[in-house]
Amino acid sequence: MRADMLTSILSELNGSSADIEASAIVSTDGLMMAALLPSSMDEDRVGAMSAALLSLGDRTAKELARGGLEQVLIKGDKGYVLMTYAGDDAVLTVLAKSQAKLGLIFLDVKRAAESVSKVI
Amino acid sequence: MNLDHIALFKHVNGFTDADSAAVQAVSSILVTIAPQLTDEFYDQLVSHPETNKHIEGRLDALKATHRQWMTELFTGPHDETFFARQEIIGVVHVKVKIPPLFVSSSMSFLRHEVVHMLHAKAESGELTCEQFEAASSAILRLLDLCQMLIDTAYEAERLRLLSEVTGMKLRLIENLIALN
Repeated sequence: MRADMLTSILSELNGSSADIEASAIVSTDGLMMAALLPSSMDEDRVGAMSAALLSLGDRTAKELARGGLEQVLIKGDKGYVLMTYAGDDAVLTVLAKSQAKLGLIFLDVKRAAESVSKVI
Repeated sequence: MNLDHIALFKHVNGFTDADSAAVQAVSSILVTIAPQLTDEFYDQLVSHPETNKHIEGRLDALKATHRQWMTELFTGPHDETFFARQEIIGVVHVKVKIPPLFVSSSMSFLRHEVVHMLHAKAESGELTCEQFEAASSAILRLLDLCQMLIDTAYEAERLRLLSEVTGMKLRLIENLIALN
């Protein structure tokens, strides 16, 4: 039931922008809770790496006096990986195209993260 | 302390209550080798610049701690309190930044030397052949058990420190390790 609700949030998020290619919700210990990922991607790897990066980002922001973490953004030449907390115990990870308009995606992801935190 | 792990280790390596009894039966003789064993052990560590770095200025205190550990090893009881102390030794070694390599090489040295010294006791007639065989076999198993507990504590403490520094939960670190 909860997994269906989380998948529905991801489905809505992926549909909100043609630039969003995939998304997933992961527990903070790296276990996949729901995912809409290409079949070529290993869910376990995406889950563990997303949670690890967000933990490191969180710690880095605190250590370097940047306040509470809002998001971690990775830019590669083929696109973006955006990670943000969805409540205290989950991570929302989004893969976006390289030409994506990040401002709009940030808004959609923030909204989706709030929805996820209400479900969890 | 994971008692199931200790039980499994003892089952595989063969350390039993009879081994513990064999050590304790000749403990009065065994404790007499503790000072010499400790001195030879630290002579070995002092003789290499890498290990000596961790000893300089603390030699007497370290020797006293080592003699006490040897005495506990030789007198027992080899119970939960004894096992818990081995884990604490591991944690302390991590805290003072002793590399794991030093622990395993030190244990190797002790295994060799303890048998060598007990053999000398047998040759001098202080130990019978049977006592030498039973005690040296039991002490070797016991040292292996100690090293397993120290190594396990080492690994746990290093993961805990990694978790503390990175903010990653221990479960997450284990999940990352399991990816390969």
